Amino acid sequence: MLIIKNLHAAIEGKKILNGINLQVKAGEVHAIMGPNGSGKSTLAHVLAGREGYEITEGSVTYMGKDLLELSVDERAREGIFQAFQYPIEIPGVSTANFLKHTINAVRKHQGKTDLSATEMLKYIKEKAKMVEMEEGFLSRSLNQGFSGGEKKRNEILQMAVLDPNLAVLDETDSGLDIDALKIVANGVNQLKRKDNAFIVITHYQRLLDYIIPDFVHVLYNGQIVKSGDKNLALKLEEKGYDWIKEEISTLTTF
Amino acid sequence: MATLNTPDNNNGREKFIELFQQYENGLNGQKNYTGHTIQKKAIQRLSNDINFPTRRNEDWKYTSVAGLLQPPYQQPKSVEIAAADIKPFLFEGLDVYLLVFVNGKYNKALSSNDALLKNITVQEIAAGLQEDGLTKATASVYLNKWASETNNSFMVLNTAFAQNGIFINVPDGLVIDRPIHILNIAFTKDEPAVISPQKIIVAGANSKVTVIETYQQLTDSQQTYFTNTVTQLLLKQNAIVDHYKIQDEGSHAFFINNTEVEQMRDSTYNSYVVDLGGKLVRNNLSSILKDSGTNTNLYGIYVGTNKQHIDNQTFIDHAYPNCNSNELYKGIITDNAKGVFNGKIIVRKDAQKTNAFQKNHSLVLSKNASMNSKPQLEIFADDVKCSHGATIGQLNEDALYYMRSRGLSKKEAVSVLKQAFLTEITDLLTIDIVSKKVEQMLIDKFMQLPDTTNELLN
Repeated sequence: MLIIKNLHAAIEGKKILNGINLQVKAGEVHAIMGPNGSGKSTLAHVLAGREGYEITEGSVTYMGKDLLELSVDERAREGIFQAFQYPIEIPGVSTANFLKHTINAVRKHQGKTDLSATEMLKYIKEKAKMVEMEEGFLSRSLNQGFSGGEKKRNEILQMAVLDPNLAVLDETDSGLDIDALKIVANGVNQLKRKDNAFIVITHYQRLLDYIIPDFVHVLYNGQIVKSGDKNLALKLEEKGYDWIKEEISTLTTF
Repeated sequence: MATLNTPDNNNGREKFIELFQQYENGLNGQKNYTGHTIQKKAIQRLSNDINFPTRRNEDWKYTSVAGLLQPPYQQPKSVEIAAADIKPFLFEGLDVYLLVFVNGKYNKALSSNDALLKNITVQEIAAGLQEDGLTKATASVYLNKWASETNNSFMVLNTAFAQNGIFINVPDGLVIDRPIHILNIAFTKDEPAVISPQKIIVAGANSKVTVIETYQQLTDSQQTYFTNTVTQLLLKQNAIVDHYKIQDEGSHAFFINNTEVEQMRDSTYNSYVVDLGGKLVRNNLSSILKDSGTNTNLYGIYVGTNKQHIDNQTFIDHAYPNCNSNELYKGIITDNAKGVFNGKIIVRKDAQKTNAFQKNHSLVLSKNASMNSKPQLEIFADDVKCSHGATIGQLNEDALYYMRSRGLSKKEAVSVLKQAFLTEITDLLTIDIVSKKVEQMLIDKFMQLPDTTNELLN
């Protein structure tokens, strides 16, 4: 589904990603962990198509297409979803209205007709229930005055209604209490299928107690320096990142 | 007060005087009607005492009427319009008392007469002046004022050329069960027409009325035309009036709306102005508070694209104590369009305990677009609460990116954000069907724009 080859990216001349290689197949969940400043969020932004990042080398192929040639909205319509670390508040646009626009934009791209008002409402309410979001939130301005947990749940709701092929969760767990974390994880687990994939970016292991990854990668200085299964995450939780940093410095010393 | 003359404006003025002569020559035996005497007074005033404003005039600093005065205007020709022709301009599903103006003339055949069943007077002004009665008593006062006293040359011009204007009287105590929709249709073809609708509306004591004025063009003729409209409202004691002015004229229209409101004790006037169409648009909206305890709420939306020029001038005269006024105008200016807002408020010496608040917020979304916003508070009383504020901004880029990351095209995301900016006002439109229709008109206008109109975002 996704093949990242030797990806280098910089922002304002500062190199952040220094040759990432990663392959994600349908049905897989990949966790990307790493200390602060290792390039985790940059990777998420580059995959989503945020402006301001310069790709200096490498390639990203998504479903056979050159992903880097697509604009952010084209990527979204092609089935890539990024759950934001800091969701934006948009006064004057109700959550329901926003969802309606996004659903119809993606449906139109897929050659489907717009949902009727009744179908739309039913569909949105169904998904809202899945992420345990009260219906009252739907009529409120998007994210405005939402708590941190409510904003993250709203991200998962958007993911649920758009039903993407590839979802990139950018530190969705940050700032969540354990109940909110479970709701978010539960949403992801319900959406998980054989034909879609997830990249879960996180600083902490605890989210991975609820979303079981097939692969865990450690990002450090803009490179994937170690990959393993879920046990790698447990080891990181126990020992921190220092042993990995040491391993690398040992390697580079030789 | 005579305004400064320039060769351009003199030329325009002379053309109107000549046009009046042609019109008068065609009148034959009707010249001695009371209405015509007033018209003659108005044109004489225009030839002797008053001229059209120039940009040296403080209130017209940002708006030039030189282009407006250029075309060789004609009185609009009589046209046949069927009920089916106006159907697209109605509010579908909304029960109204429908009054139709075609090219500035009241068209009785297309209008509904149900209002009469509620003892609401709807009479053509010219006919009303022929007999003693309420129409004559009220209309003659205003018409004479417009012909002889006003400093507003466009009201003088309207008085000279108006035909088949109407007088509406809502009796004391009547809470009207549905809105009065005054539908103004421009239907011009070959020659540039000057369209002069005229309305005088009296809301009786303790009455409650909603008036919706809409201004649109029926054909897609590329010929220039000039709508120069006058609406007078008198709110008697404790009357409540909701007044909508939704303007979506053709792209070759000059549009000047002169609305004057007089408010008696404890009355409430709510104004909702929406400007989408027209080439040059100027709204002169004034509310004269003639007693204490009044409420005046003026709301406005303007969306300027291409080379549109939209100018809103408001004036509230606080002359009595314990009155409240509140103004909020919001608009979006793109391309080469220009917007102007000038909100003048006078709080006179005796107007203690006045609350007067005014806000104007604009989005200016391209390098060649501009907005001039000028609050003008003159306060002579000492125990008042007054404030004003104006902002000019752009769309939030983070919000735009967020929406695009969910699949909305840039154009659609921009449209949604523009609409969101105006929601504060569209939410105030108390009639749901009208609110929905205005929202749809806004979206249609936003989606018409080429993507390049948001160049500041790149």
